[in-house]
Amino acid sequence: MQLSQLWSYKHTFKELIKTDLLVLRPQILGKIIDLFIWIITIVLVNAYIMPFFGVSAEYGVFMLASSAASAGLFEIWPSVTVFISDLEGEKSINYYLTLPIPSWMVLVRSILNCAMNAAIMGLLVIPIGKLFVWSLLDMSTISWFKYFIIFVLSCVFYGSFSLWTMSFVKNMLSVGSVWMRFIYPLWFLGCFQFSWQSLYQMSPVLAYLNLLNPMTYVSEGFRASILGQQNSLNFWLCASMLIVFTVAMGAQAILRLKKRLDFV
Amino acid sequence: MSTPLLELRSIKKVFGAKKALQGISFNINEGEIIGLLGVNGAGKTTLSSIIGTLNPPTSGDVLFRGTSIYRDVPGYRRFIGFCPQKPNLNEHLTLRQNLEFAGRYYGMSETDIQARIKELSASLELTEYLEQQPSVLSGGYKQRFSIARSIMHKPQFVIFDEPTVALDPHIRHQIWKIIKGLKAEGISILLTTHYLDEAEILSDRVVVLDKGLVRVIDTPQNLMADFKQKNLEDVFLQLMQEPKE
Repeated sequence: MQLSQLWSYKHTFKELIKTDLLVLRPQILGKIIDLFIWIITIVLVNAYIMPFFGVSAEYGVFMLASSAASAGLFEIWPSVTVFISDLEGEKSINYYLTLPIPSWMVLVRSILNCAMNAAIMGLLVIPIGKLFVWSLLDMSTISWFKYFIIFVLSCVFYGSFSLWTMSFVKNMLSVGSVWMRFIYPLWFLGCFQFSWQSLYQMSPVLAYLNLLNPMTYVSEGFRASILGQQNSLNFWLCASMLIVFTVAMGAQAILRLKKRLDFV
Repeated sequence: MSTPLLELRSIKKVFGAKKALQGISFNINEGEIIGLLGVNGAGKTTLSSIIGTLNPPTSGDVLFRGTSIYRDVPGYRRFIGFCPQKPNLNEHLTLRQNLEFAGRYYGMSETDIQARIKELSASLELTEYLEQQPSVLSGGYKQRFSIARSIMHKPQFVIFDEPTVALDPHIRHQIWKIIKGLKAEGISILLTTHYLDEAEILSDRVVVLDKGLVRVIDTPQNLMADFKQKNLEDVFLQLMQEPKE
C-alpha cells in the first residue's frame, strides 16, 4: 500500500479518533480521581511510612517516578474488558470494520484510543506527586524533553500492549486472567520497585533476561528522565526498545485479530 | 446488456471443516431488491458479510460495476451501506452523534450531514429520540436508527441482514416502507430475511440458499407460477422438501 493511498484515509481515521475523544471526555474527572488515589497511596507508603521501616525517604521519589511510568498500565485491563465484551455482545467493531478505510486501521485506532486513556492517567502524576513529596522531588533534575518523549512512547506502547493482550483473551470469562498472567508479572518484574542496576548487582543473568521485558524500558526510561541518567539504563536505549516493542506487539496483535475476527 | 451493479463469482467460504458457502454466483442489478432466503445455517449472513466486506471469501470474487472489490476495498465501501441483523450503535454517543459521525466517516460536509439527519429522522420518525442514548430505545427504534446510519452517506447499494427479525408486525411494516422508499430512490438492496411474506412483497427477485448453494433464483411471481403455489412461503416449503438435483 502506497503512502499516498494511506494518506487518503486520514479523514475517516481522524473522525474515528474524534469519536473516541468524545467518548473519553466525560470520563476524565473520574480518571483524575483514580490517579489521585493511586499517587497518594504510593507516596504515603513509600515516602512517609517506609522510612520507619529503615528505607530511605528518597525511595518515595524513586517510586513516584516508577508510578509515572506505570499509571497508563492500568488502562490496559479496562480496554481489554471493553473490547472483549463488545465482541461477545453488541459487536460495534463490525460497523467500524466496514468503514471506508483498511480494516487494520480500525485496530490501530484501538491502540491510539488506549494510548489516549493512558496519557490522561500519566499526565498528572508528576504535578500531583510534587504536592505530596514537595522538597524530596528536585524538579531541576527532570529533563522535560526526555520526559515528553518517554511519556508519548509509553502511552503508545500501552496501546499496543493492550491490543496484543486482547488478541490472546478468548472471552469474558478469561478476562480476569489478563491482570495476573500478563500485566502483573511484566509490571512487577519490569523494574517498578527496583532499578535494573540493582537487579544486575544481584544477578547479571536475570538482569539481561529482564531486558526482554518491555516494562523495564518504560520504568527505566521514566526514571532516567525524572531522576537523571545516573543509575538508570540509557534513556535512548529505552526509547528505541519501546518503539521496537510497540511495533512488534502491535503487528502481531493485528495479525492475530485478523485471523480471529476474519476481516478483509 | 448493461453491467450488473454487483456480480458474485463462485463465492466459497469454509470455516474449518464446515463449508458454509459452496460456490455462489448471481448478479444484482441497478435499483433491484434481491431477497436472500434460506433456513438457519443456509449461509445468508455469511454471504451478506462477504458482500459487505466484513469477512473475506475463501475463494471467488465480488465485482462492483465490473471491477473486483478486493482491488480497492475502502473505495467499494464508500458505495455501500451495511445494516447488520443486530443494531450495533455506539452506546456512548447520542443517536444524533451516531448519525453525525456516520456522515463524517464518509467525508460528508456538516451542512449535508445536518440536512440528511433532518431528512432521515423525519422519514423514519426518529426526531424525538435524536438527543438520547441508544440504550433507552426499544428494539424497533434501534433497528430504525441502524438503518438510518447505514444509509446516512447515500450509498448506491445497501445490505440489510434480517432487518425485521424479532420486531412487532407494525414495525416490520414501517421498515418495509423504508425499504420501498430506498428502492424508489434507485438504491439497490440485498435483503436477507427469514420472512417469506417480506421477501414476496419487497423483492424483485429472490435467491434461495440451501446448505451453502443456490437452489433457485427468480422473481417471486415466476416461482409461484412454476411451483403452482399461491405464495412464496409454500414455494419455499415445497422447495425444501424436494431433493436437490
